[in-house]
Amino acid sequence: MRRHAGRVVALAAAVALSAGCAHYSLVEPQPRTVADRYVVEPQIRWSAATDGKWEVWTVDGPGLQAVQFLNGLEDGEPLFSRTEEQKRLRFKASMTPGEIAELLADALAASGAQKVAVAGVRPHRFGTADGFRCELTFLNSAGLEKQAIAAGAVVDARLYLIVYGGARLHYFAKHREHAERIIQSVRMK
Amino acid sequence: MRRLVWLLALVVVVAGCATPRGAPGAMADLQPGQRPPADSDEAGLWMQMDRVEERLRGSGRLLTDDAVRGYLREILCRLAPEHCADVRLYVVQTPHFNATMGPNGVMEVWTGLMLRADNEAQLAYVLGHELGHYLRRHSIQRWRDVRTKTNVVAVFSLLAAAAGHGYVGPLAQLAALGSILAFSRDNEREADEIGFELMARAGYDPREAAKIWEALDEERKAGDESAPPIFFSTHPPTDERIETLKALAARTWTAEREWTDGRERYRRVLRPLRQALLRDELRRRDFARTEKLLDRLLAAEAGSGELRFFQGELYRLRQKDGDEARAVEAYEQALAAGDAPPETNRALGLVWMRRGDRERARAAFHRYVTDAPAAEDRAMIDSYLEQLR
Repeated sequence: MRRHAGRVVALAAAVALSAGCAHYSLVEPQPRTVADRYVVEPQIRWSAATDGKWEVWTVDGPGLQAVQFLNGLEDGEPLFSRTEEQKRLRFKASMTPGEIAELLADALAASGAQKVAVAGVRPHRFGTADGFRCELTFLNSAGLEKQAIAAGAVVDARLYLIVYGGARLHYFAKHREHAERIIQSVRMK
Repeated sequence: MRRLVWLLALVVVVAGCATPRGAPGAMADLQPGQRPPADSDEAGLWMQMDRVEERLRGSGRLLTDDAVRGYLREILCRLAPEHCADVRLYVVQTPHFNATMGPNGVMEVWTGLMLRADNEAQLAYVLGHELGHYLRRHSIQRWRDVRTKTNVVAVFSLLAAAAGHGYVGPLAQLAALGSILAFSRDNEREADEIGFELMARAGYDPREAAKIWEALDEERKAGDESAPPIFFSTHPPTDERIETLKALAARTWTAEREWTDGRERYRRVLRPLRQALLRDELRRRDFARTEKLLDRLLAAEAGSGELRFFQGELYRLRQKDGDEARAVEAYEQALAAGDAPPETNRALGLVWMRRGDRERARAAFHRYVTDAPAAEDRAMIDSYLEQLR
């Protein structure tokens, strides 16, 4: 039994290492190209990491607050692809802005978020593209209250999103204005 | 992933419990008010489950509706009055079909089960089945069995499979722990029999027990096999168990005795919740399964505008060939029924807009903003109306 327990510990360690292996780099407060499609102008320094599909910028850690950029999702692709349930939630280029907000909320729910609510879906100019923005509230999988704003547009049948979210207490508000400035600064290349 | 690490840590802790006392195999039934001796492995298992329960209490998924909780407790106490005080019942709002019972008396009823049960008798059978595991102390039997036989890699694969169910979030931990302690076929057979006996003793129509498995099996066959429902990993709805339950019902049911299926009362209790549960269900976008479920619900309630609305929503979101026409038909039936939610006109407008029928789209959006002038997406609808001018 002890040998078995040892193997589990080793396995747990391997899992923990793989979970923490994201590589962060510094984002300086100067114009920066995102998804090779548009430029934003951050006002402060952020730490950035990417998995290709999503780019994540954070100050205090992604569990507390983060700006997430969806880098041009193609028609038929899921927003998140870690689990089978997430993979069912696929973007379609024919979706209306309201349906994209709905998809984002459902994808969060499929990722373990609870009591996901979308509000204030409204038109928004994303660079030069006609887009939308909305607000979201939810509890994360551990029950922590979170708040988010999302803005995006479909450009050439690809979905571009900027989602800023954080713990409702303190961390969301802490960099909300900086995130709003990023969203407002979008300039198509 | 952090959940998985937590879970693995839990397994390590559990694996390090005191040396088991008693051999694997049959044990005396749990008596009302009984707690295991403090130095036993069973007490260790209870303690771990107490911690899981603590986390469950902090979860945002607990349904706090007193009417529903009271109703379920009433069924539970009707099934096993002598154990009623020992069971702590939690209603978990998640669209998956599941019910669990920990060895320490923590019972979970997931709302996906409530949405799928056709009547109180079917729900009572499932609760009785879970009570069967509890009363026969199957968890500790299984745990002792796992500890003596298990390959920990197999345990890990069960954990990984359970962690793949991202939708349930932290509840996956509980489900995974349940998977570790997945009951043997004999345990399942025994729990089926106890569940059946308890429901029949309480006067529920015993013919309903097999029906819930049949309905689930139909959904399972229609659904995505790469993501089977959590409940099926430990409770496969096999033909054998369906046939066994049918045979038991044939022996038990007599026309002389008065039986109830509690359908009307069940629908009355569920009604205020149903729209929220259907929204949760649709959110999974497991369209084939949800379509089967809606077909079943509509077969019993064809004139429901609420159900027709969700049928329309399924087609709108699925976007298969012919779905737009199906969605329009369902929404129109919903509106004609009179009890459709206000979003029906918005949804209808979206489908007409996608089909390029500007006039009908505009009319539907106008009806929506007239019915719900303060709708939170009013600005978006106004922009659609602007585009459609």
